[in-house]
Amino acid sequence: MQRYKIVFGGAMGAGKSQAIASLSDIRVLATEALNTDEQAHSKLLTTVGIDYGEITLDAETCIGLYGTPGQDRFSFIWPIIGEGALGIIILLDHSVANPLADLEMYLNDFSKTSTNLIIGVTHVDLKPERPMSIYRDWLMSRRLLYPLFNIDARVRDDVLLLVETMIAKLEAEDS
Amino acid sequence: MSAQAVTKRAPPEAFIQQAKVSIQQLMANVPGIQNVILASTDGFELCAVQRDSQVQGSKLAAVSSSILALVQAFLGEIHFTGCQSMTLEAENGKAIIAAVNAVNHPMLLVITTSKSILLGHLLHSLKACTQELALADQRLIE
Repeated sequence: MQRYKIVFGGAMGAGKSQAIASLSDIRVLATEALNTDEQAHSKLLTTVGIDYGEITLDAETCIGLYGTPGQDRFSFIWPIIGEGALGIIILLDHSVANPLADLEMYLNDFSKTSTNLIIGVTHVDLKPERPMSIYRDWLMSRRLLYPLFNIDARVRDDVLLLVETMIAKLEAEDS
Repeated sequence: MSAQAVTKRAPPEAFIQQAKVSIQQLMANVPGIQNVILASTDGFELCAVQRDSQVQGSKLAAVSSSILALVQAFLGEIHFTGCQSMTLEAENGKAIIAAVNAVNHPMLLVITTSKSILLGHLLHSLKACTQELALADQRLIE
């Protein structure tokens, strides 16, 4: 069996832990602590180490799913977790004040670790008046062509779409 | 202490002032300690007493909270419970990361020392310090 690694990055509260929990076939290993930064996000717990889950796509392919802590004080761990990954899925919280600033920060950082990046935008329902086109426009203005999806991290098929797109992209590049 | 104050997830300033006295006492009691940093389990520096100004407390707080969480997750996977501290021994010194099992505000202590420190003395004093901090946190709701 081939074993691969995919990393989930992005801001606190964007849904990285949830995405891994939605997709994983095994009980997720989590490293959560009480979130004391209520100004940044109101959620009770936050990842401070890694999340780890697994999904078996077929008899030949198992993928390790690695979640990172979102806050930039934990950026020291991002390249460590990203080492050897097939690619990195960046999740953006559409409802925050400036999701494009998050997009820029995480793209800048994770593009140092991997060139295979995919962007998932979450919590779109919380800010319906903000168009999804802002992300595509921002990427196009910088001549960046990363796949971009609107997803619900609680929906397994949505998260699976990101993973399958990453694999399809790699297969297309190899052929 | 008002009930509203203890519902906040970050510890109140009065607790931090008291904690700083505790970690100053720890440093005074055990020769060879270079730095003591009290951090929240989500990686924020709460207070510190430092002899080595080259150490960046905020960065150490974030890294240490990750390490403690990872080690506790690892031990959980092998069904070991109650990890209170870990000792890292380098060529030129030691580092200890210890959990502070405070009911209201879980925290951790990060201590760096010289190579020649008496480890038994340090661990004994450290245990007393973490218990003192947990008790002070407990008093917040009394």
